Amino acid sequence: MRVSDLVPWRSSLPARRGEGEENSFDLMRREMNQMFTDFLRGLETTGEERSVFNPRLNVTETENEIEATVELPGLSEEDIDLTLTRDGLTIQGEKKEEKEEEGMNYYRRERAYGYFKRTIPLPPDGVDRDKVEANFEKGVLTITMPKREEAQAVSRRIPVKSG
Amino acid sequence: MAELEVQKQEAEEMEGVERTRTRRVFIPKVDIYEEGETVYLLADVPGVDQESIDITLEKNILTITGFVDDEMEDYGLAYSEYRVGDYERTFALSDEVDRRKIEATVSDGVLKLTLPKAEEAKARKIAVRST
Repeated sequence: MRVSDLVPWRSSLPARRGEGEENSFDLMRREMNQMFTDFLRGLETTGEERSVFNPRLNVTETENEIEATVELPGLSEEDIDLTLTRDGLTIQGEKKEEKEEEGMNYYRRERAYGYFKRTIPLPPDGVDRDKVEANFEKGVLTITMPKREEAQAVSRRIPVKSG
Repeated sequence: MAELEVQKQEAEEMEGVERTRTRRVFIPKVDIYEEGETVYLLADVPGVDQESIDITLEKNILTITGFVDDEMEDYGLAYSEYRVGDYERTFALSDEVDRRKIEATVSDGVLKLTLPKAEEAKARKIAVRST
């Protein structure tokens, strides 16, 4: 149990559109959240405990495509497995630890290793499956998923008329 | 989901130091280990390549700075778990490291620094003679 779980306004991760749109209350709230997180992180990572590799996702959306980015430092293309199902995209892989050999003396071990699996839910038949592309560069995986034309048509700007 | 919180730690602003860039700065996670006569440093810096990293050594302070492109296009952020920002971390080197022979490579978002020990610092076996 973490204190941040008890804070009701933190029930979902904040989606941000840009720094400019934040008002000072949002800013304060975010800083407070950060303080809790940092404080608790300090408690959690005492001693020799290693962190679990759990890569983070960002998902952005434009009018005609959805783009997901994942930070995967230390992996190569071969370590990453992508599966596209009807209603989701699953990313899995393993960040392999360098084999500890005799004569290797660790001073610091902060980097996380291990197997991970993340699924991004997608609207059923919302993306053009044949045109999904993935690119791995500088330790960042970028998956571009063009929306199907029907899906694009769904989000339509509705003009507001004065009566 | 405590594990989700750990991956990226934002650097605190140092007292009396003002940043000249309005970017977020993260402290990269590192592994440091010694193998034989060499010390290796691995740092996770996703988004950084050899062109966008700066490594400086001033006296005995080694500073790693990685710059990450933040492409702001016309998109809406649908879901966000991580922030994009630069990386910075400093280390104090001991006199044992041979400063002229430090090497650095970046691949797949991981920086690897090779810090060979200086001749004088190498462990020597001292033969014990019997008299």
